[in-house]
Amino acid sequence: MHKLTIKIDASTQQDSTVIWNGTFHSSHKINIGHNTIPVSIKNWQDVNDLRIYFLQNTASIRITDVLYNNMSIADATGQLHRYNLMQINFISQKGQDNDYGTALGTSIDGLGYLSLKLTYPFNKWFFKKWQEIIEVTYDKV
Amino acid sequence: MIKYNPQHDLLLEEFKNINWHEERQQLKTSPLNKFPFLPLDIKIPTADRKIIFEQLKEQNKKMNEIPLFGPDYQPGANKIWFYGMRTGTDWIKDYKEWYKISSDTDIQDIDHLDRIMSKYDYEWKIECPELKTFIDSFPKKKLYSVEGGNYQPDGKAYVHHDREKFNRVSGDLLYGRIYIPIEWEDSASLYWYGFGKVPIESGRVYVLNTRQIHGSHNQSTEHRYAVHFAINPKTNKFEDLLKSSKQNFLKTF
Repeated sequence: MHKLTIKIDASTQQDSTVIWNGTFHSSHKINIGHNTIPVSIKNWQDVNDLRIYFLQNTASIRITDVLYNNMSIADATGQLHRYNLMQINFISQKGQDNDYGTALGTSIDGLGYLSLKLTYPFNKWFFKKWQEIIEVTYDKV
Repeated sequence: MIKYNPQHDLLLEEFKNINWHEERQQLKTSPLNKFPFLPLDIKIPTADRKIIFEQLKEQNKKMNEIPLFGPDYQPGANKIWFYGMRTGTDWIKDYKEWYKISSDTDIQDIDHLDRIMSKYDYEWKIECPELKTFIDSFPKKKLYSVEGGNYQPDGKAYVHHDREKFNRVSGDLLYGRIYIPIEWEDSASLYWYGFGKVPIESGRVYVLNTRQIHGSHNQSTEHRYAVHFAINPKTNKFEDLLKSSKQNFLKTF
């Protein structure tokens, strides 16, 4: 059993859509405040792509944690995860990807989606991500 | 009583079980600064090690009186300070000052750190001639600190990386904490990113790449003692020791 949990804070109500390896996974109602998006993984490959789309977002979404089988990235890395956790992809009003570019981070203002590449096995991915976050951010803070 | 932290225990248990076979193989072509640790071709003589072990046991009561920094991350662990800076106040204050300086984010390189550390006088706070003789003979430019550590049975260091800045200045070489396990059983385990369980030999000297995440769990029924020290390593002799040790280490897997 592989379980991902994405925790986000939202400032407006909206729907979100989870895409796993290019295939629809689930839809979620997002409320103002704290939200939890559970992603049960049934099909995986060596490299996997998790995307969470926020196509009704008119304000701000902030990712506060990613957990794999209850192991928390935020707890492991402290504040460091904010700098290099996910790929943030912005979408323009015309529906074009990347009009405003992409960025590493934890916040989306306006339309966009989160993208996270996960290698299998996922427990190893977790610790590699932890080390990567330390290496790319620690000396800068 | 070991403090229980469900999230940190979960992370440590998972970390202990990761299979790093692929990463171990990659070490064969990796530069030294990517190594998780390196056993050096140097050992403390067994007779001296036994004397140091007895001294560490004697100091055990004193160790228990010393608050570790971040005890939530190292339940059941404590330390003493054999050698370090002297500022004229008490040694716990001195240790806190040492910790602050060695973790300072503004330190750019070993020479910069050396300039800062040269402002202080140093002293052996606990006399241990056998340890002093061995460390005096170890290749280095300058000695900054010698600590003794003790993990109780079931003592742990949760998965973390160290904030000491010495390991930032490795260049292509490996430099970090110089570590001597004085007395421990096989089940007094140390686990490292990219390698897994570290094969420990009591008395062997190791360089630990503490910039990489690591964790520890003393699953034996005995206390686990180690000595570690911080130096300015910039000598040809130390570089030569690293290079020859790397070749010998790679022959083991």
